[in-house]
Amino acid sequence: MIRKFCLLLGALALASATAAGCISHHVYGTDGTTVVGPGQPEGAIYTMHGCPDQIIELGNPNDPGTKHWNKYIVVYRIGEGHKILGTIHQSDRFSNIAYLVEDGKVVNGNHIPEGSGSTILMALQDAMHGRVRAGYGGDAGYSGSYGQQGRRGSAITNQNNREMLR
Amino acid sequence: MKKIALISAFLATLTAFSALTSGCISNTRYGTEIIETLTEGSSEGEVIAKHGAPDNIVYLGTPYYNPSNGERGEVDKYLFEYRIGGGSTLLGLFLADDVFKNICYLIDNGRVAGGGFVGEGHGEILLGNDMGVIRTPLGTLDLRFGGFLHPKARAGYGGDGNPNGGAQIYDGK
Repeated sequence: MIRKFCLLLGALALASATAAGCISHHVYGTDGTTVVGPGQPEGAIYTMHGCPDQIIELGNPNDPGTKHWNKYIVVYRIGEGHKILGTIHQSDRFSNIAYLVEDGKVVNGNHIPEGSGSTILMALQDAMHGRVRAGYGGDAGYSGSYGQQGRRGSAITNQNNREMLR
Repeated sequence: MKKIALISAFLATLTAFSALTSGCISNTRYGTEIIETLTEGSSEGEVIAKHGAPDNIVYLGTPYYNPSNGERGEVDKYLFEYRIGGGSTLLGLFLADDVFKNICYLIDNGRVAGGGFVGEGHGEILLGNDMGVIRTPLGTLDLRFGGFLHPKARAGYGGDGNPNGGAQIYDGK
């Protein structure tokens, strides 16, 4: 009787451990990670990477003769995540591409890794530090000039029905 | 042993039932269907004529306004954004995937100054059904299968439509 009971408990524990997600993979963000070189026209950025995730203007004047910004930063965020059997193994990784644009030209820019995390037998969201960083849907970072509600704290609750967590 | 087999059968039935009831097969692809892009020098009107209504317009400038005399300035540089997203499901979230792309044009003084059609990520789920949590006298069964590790609430998808292109702010209701 005790043996059967233990077997049942074991089955329950196993089902519970593996149930919170079987296998999922995603990579969200621009697919084009080749960087546009300095001196290239700003239009080359959008040709290469498409819609930016954030644009931050840098101290441009606002007077009758100024019709656009001459200096700004274009930001692309790339995040990926992998789950195997829910909390059995989880990992994620972040990177970004940022360009400084001045007078219609790329001053400089690069594709830079921005950290990674992995867990075994626990959820990443329960790890020591939060994964909600500026730009990845959950932080309260500077919104930039692009609005960016979707990239700040609101995103984690809004979720677009895709955040099923754990 | 018989009880374990019975519980296993019950769980399997529940899985099958949930998979079937939470959606069988679906395929979606939303966004402009014209993905050929215009070359530099084309007029901004051609962009609208080719792709239709943009999903977002991002101004690359601050419009000047003088409240004392009502004088207003114009912004002559902006982005036209078209977002394309789609996905498919098989037996609910038993097998599901999605993929995102976009078209972005830089418009400078009424002309296209660059633009392209690019991929913007994808995701796949296997066994992603959400069957809730079952509490038994012996323990709790968490059957909330699947899900992506990160939200897909990116600028431009599901919640935009405002000039900022951001997702709608959840008001807690």
